[in-house]
Amino acid sequence: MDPHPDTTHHQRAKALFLDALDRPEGERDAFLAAGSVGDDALAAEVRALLAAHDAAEATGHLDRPLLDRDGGAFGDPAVGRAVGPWRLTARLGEGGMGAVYRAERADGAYERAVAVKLIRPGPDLGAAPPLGRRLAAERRILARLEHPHVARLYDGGVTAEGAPYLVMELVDGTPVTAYAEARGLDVEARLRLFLQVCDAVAYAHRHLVVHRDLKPSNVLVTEDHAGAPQVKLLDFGIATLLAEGDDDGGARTCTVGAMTPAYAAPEQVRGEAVTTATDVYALGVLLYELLAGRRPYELARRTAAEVERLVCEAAPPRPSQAAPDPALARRLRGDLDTVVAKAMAKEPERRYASAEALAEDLRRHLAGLPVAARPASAGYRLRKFAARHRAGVAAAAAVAVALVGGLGAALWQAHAAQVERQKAERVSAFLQETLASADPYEGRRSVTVEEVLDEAAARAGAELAGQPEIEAAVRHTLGTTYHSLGRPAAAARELERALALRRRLHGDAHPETAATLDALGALALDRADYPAADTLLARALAVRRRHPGPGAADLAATLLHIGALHQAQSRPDEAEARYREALALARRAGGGPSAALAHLGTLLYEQGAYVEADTLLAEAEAALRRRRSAEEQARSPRLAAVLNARAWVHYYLGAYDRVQPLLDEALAIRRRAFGPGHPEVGLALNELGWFHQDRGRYALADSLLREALATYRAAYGDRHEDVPAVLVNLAAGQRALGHLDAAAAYLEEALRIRRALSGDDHPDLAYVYNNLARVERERGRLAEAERLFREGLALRRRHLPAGHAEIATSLASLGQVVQERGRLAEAEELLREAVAVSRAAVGPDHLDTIWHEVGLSACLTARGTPGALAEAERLLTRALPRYEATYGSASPWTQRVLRELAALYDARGDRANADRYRARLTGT
Amino acid sequence: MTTPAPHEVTQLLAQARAGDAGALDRLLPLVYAELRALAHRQRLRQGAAETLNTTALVHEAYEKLAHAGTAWSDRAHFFRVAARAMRQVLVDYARARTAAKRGGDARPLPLDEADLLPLERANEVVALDEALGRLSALDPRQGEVVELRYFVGLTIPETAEVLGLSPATVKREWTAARAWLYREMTRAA
Repeated sequence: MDPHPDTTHHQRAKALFLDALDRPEGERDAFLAAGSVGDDALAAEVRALLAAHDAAEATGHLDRPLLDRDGGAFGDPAVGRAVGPWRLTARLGEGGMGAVYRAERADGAYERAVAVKLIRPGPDLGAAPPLGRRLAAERRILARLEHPHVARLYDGGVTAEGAPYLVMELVDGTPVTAYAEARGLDVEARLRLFLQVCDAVAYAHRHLVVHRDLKPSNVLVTEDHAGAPQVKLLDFGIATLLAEGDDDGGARTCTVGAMTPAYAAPEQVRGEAVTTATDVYALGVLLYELLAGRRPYELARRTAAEVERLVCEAAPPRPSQAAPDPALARRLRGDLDTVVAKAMAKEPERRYASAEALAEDLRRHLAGLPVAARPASAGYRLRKFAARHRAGVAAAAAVAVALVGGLGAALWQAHAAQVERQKAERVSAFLQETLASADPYEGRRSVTVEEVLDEAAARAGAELAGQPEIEAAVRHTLGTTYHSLGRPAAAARELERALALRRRLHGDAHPETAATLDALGALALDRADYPAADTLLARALAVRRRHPGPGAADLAATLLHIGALHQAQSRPDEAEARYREALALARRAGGGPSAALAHLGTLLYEQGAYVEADTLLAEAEAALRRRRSAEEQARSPRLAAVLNARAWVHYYLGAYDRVQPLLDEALAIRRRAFGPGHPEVGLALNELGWFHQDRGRYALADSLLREALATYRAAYGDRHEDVPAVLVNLAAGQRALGHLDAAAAYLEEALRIRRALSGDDHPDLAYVYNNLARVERERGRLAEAERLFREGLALRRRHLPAGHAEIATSLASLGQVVQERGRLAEAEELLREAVAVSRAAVGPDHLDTIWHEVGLSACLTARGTPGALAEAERLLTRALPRYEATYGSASPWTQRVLRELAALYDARGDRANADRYRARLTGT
Repeated sequence: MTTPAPHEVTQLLAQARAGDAGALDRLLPLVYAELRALAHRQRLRQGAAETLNTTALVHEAYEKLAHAGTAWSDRAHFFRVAARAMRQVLVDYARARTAAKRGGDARPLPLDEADLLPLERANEVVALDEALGRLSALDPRQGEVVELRYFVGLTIPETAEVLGLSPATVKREWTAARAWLYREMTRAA
């Protein structure tokens, strides 16, 4: 059988290439000319291979295996060998000082398999003698430890080659964190499991042994015959003798040995003395991870210096803040947060004095007793008492926060409306009385925030009946407080009453009436009731143009609300005009222009003017930070909004590494400022989740999006447009993971909710249809995908003004799937219409239009006629500089343009140009 | 996922030794399934660790699948099959990882969905897999060298041992394969 000609050619090219490689560079051409015996194709191939070789050398192409392995070697000479009476049967992994093997008794005298740790002498571990001494010490320590939750040491010795080894109990278990997740253990069960760990560590500490490397993979769980989980602590291999009397005086200060940064205490990271307190810290981290489901610090891919700074200086979020869902967050808040914080204190002396003390506090917590971790203030004991007697009662602290906020607003309101001092005092006195009534010492049971506000509202009706001005001010304050607490229905109720009172008192053209109109308008805007917002804000504006307030602050505020309304209505030019007017007013008044800067910056970002947007947002951030202490910054929703907008500007500019810190801070602020169940927190979670999803961190994204969903549902129920929006994001994550059924299920649910919100015939349904279509497309059901895209298009055509940008999007998606189905002429027609609609909607130079042109060129390339190719070339060469200027060349958008260009020139057979563009593609 | 009986694997290895090339192909799905299961367990054991020890995985699969009496030469056969299976496991993972961007048809993630591979690396794997398919068609030996080196992480001497070649030959095959793949991957990007 003759070899295939391609194979022959390949073998000849390979041989010639390898021979040429052995020659000095200067001789290669001559060598090739001689070796290829007139076969130009062969010579060209070898030249290309030589060039590829140089490039591969320079870039280290494929130099490292896909996945690192830590020392495992094929035909590991140790496997199969005897070590003392033990035969090594498999390599299990790497420990601190060497490899660990599974082993059996060679003589069969002993049935059970064991773990053998074979110590690898190496330059990094120093010469053999001290190592031998360390190991001997380790053996003595371990031999003394006999505890049901500590893996036993059976044997030890030195191999024929002089390598020391240890024989230990083989534990076929699951890391404690994975076990808890897999079994879906609740908080109590996790604590009980953790108490076993504490007991084992406390036992070792009593024997003067510090573990020094506690982490989930060293804390395995097996189940006994009754199915009860049993913890086994592994690997005291790096334990150090605490007591004097070790024959090697250097052992105590020896820094050799493993530690795992994620679980290492500050003193360990700094290379300082390690004590039992170091283990207490690691227990704290382990407890944190067990409770919150994640580690306190994100240390992956950080430099050593960053790790040291984070571990030694940064305060991690509390477990309750890190918890993936609000119910768990509530469960962790308070005692468990405090216990973890005390175990993880930066200074060893501030931690629990022992693992036992930590365990004792957890036992107290499980019994419903106050924990020792926190100095027991009267208020704390009281809350503890209340909690024991009435589960689910809201903490008095939350009530106090709400009322302080309310009072602040009331006083500001009093000032802004320029009511006389006496009136302001009466307003605050009334609210203070309500506050007092929420105090359990007043003889009533504890109440929730909402009950306090409801109480205030009810009493305002009865007790302020004869004082309409005060009642109006109180109701206005209650309304804005409800609004900021995310309770729009109650906010509307109070504001409507305030408005009615003020109209009766002052008429429509009074500044106080305007203030309530403005507040109602802002509320309507948040509830997406745009016609109502429009009417209310227009009336507020008319009054405030005549009464702009001190520093024109009132007028500027209403202008910003109207701008936001226009923005929500997709009228960006009008929005920009309002914002610029507000900004000019704020700058003229010399006051804080941060709100106007933030609004305008956000708008420009949405319009794609990223560079100017970033300048404005940076100024807004600086202004906000300047005027606030660190403490205030940490709970400033405005700062959060600006950080959020900056994050997305960076995203679109391709500076991905700058996005996450901004979104993280925005989320942390919103959690603190609004409390965990607030829709603003849902929004921040949704955005952070979306970002992580976009970056391919699907598991993390999924947990964030689920929390967003739970938050929205808790705040709104199903009836809010944000709920299907999160569902669509969750679906996108599932789709990216290839879980198409799960994606479809989320989308069906989104569809159901959307339909319940706005019926079967609403343009917003199109968004869900399009996503369903993408799922179908990935399932390979192109016909179904096409049907759904058509459905979405039809909805948009029916309801949106002809020439709306979203119609162009629908046309483009449909065109693409029609192209994939092979109907090129029809696809071209659809894609041309997408371009035309987009040109009309957002202009011929808008990036969206250009994007549709890129889609059209892909179809034109597929058609392949000379005319089509010429047009594709024209469109793509226009698109490329625009995308590069906006996003740089590494962005996925620019990369797609480059790919299309390469494909185009391939279709033309223009190899040089095709290669020129291909050379600029990154990794893909 | 069921674990095949060890004797089944041993038998297939014996048939391969006897010259039945098809036996190795029948072995592949068994090894593939086992590697996926073991990879899953390994990741479970290591919790959030971000590496997958491919070499240990293959050893573990061998321990589990091959009968104690399996000949040493069968071990090399096993590694060659396991390398192909490992490649499939990792490429499936990489494909699922890049599915969002590619908009293609994706199987569920064979491994846990943690960040095993950064997206850039996943893209590289998918591109490599395609190029490697073309290379193997031209030169099966080069294909095997790349599978063992890149997907299992074997060193040159280890690869030589598995393939029964001299280390110098493996090194030359590797150098040539790497240049060929580099050219192919930059061309097909």
